[in-house]
Amino acid sequence: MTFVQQEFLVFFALVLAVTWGMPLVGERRRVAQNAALLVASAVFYGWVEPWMLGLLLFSTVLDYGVTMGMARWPERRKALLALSLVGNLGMLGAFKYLGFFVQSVGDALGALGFVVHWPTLNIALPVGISFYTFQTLSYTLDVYRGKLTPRRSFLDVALFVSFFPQLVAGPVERARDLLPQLERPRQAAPSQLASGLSLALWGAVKKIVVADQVALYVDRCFVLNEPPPSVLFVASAAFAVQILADFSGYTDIARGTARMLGVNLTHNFNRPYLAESPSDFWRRWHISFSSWIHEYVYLPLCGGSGETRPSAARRTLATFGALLISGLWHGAAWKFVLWGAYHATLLTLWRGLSHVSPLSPPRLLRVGLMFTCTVFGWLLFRMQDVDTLRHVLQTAPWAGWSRAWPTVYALVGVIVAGGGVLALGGAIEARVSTIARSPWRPTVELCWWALAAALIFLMARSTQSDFLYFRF
Amino acid sequence: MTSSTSASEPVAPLVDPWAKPAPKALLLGLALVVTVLGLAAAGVRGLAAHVENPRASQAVERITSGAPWLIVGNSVAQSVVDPDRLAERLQVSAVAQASVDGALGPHVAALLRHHPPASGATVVVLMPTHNLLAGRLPSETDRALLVELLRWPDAPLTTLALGGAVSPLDLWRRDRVRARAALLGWVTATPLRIGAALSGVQVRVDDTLSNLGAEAGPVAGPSGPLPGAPPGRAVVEAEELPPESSVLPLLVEAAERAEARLIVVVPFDRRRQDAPCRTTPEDEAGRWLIERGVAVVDMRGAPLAPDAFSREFHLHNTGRAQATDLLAEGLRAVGPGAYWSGACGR
Repeated sequence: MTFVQQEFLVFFALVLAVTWGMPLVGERRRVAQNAALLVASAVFYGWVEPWMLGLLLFSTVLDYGVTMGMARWPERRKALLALSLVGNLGMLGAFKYLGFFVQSVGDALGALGFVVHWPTLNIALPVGISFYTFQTLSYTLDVYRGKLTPRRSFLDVALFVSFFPQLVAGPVERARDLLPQLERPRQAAPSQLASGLSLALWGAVKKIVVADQVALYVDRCFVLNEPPPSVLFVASAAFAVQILADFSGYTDIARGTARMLGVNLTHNFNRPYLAESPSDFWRRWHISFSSWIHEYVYLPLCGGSGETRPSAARRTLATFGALLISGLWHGAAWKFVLWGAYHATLLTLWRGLSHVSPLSPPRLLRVGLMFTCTVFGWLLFRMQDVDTLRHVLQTAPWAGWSRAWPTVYALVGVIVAGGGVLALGGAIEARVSTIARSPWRPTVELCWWALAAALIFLMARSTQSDFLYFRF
Repeated sequence: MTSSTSASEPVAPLVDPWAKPAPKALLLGLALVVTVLGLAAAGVRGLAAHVENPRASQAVERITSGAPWLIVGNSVAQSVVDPDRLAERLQVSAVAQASVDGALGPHVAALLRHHPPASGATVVVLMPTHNLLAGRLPSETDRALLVELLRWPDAPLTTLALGGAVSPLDLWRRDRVRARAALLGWVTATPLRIGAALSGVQVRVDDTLSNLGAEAGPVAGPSGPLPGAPPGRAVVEAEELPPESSVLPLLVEAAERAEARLIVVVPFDRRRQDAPCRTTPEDEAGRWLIERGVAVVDMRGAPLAPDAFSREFHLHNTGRAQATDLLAEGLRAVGPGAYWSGACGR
């Protein structure tokens, strides 16, 4: 089930009614609420492919068992952690990367003159596997490091892993943030329901009114046979708008629905295209995942917890390691590896330049430069295959301009309109807190709901596309 | 929208304006809701009334223009055929391009049935066979386009889309699609017009965007009934559809009723240039058409350079002239009920 399906409205209304309408009090109410949410999460996740619930259950049972084992046999913590890593990453590898690995090895052998005819592996990618694998691993890793005590309640742990608003596309929640919220009683507050609805509607507007409309143009450009580079680059800028609207839209719906259920999820985006440097970008883009990679991959690769400063060479290696993993996490394809390597190179170069150069260009210039670099990254991310990059690099940027310019201008219109909606919404969002306690807040929110509903109704298409991050 | 909170912030503010909302604020809010929704509905209706699908109206205008030769199809036909050049090669007075971007078989059948061409005209249907045989209209835009092509409100409430029926809701859908198209058209055409004015270049906005912004949807998705279709009528994947159950009989009937000659062209296909003669679903449809006296021209194996293609079936402008010449050769070669495929020698 996805958030922009009509069935979801009915489903969520039922979940809300059951969650807040329970005639119980105290701990019994909390447990019953969590049980209801766990059942709802199973329905949500298994709606189309019930077999995928088996993988979710495997991951949950494994990490619950491992963390309980760590509490009981502290001396075997390392072995238990290894078991969790092998189990979770093995499952992720088998379902997400095995086909890619087999094909890549076959291609490499073929390039060396050894032609092999291996069968094509058509393994279905379970939705959200990358997200919940990383989320559950964070729980085990935190217990291993002693930052979190293992939880005895299987119900709470299972709900932490499978909490449906953020199950399939994040935010990747840390156990230390989400578990305590699931362990305390939750009460429905009218403002919390209203603000959750407002946020979820803003997410839906981003997805339906911006992302899906921009996608129509972007998708057409990326299937063209060797299009002019100018078209590809401007289409990548449009894709920058699309992916931000799509992914942050999902996050806002997730945060909004979770808030209506009495749970606060973490921020995932903070105006990423206003980043002034590559490191700033990663502090603003997909924050929950970037910080996960920083904490559980980058810092260990640097050789510590960040308290001692590693050598420049080690930091560079750790940067490449973390961003290559980050790239591969997005998908089993070389273009994602390239995307990760590209961002690692950017980070390394920027770091080096900032040490060497005494100049500090104006903020506008830094933002513009970083946005341009980000857009080139999105070209790598969105292109059909690596051949597209070859075509772009081998062709003069101005080639084919005489036939490309009308398309480029039209795309500029799409970027300005889509980006404008996002910017306007972001600016309003930043100021909404000023009316949080105002008696006029219901007036404003009612008005917003009506406007959002009208926009969604006008722009929703029957051929609605899935959220982009469902593929990861 | 609402303010952002982090995990450590309290969920609800200390003073909850929603717990006991001020009656004035609530009343004003409800009044604003009614106003916003009313304005939105009026806006959509207003936009839709002033905007029509230019491609549909242009196609209707052209098909009834009295031209002796008509090209009917979708964007593939637009990218393949240069009408003036084709008229010259066929030595006829005029060839009218009555194709509609995004059209599927039911649209073409509706166009021919509700807007008959001049008696004795030759109608060349050119679109990929899976589009022609499409058994369902997958998107709201497709259904809205069908409604655009009907002589509404004179048309009876049944359409040609394999038993689908037009409901009054379809009119609202059409308005919604029109309003959406108007908004998106304005968004893309405005910078284009500015660019054209700045550079002093003439550009036809519609042509530039025809292949760019049209809604991309699956040609045939999972089986399922059309909205409003009579119960029990199966709708299947395009390539599984037997010709007699497809839109082809409606097409043939419409041409016969208009006393027009029908030629169906299987378009140039980049993917099948290497093996144009193998048996494909196209052959079954082709045989069915030939048996009913319709000529079929198969251009799949025509010697068109691969770089003439922009996509599987669409051509660059540079490939268009060559393709038009090759098509003219094929069209000249066929008589009623004949199959022509230059590459396979059938």
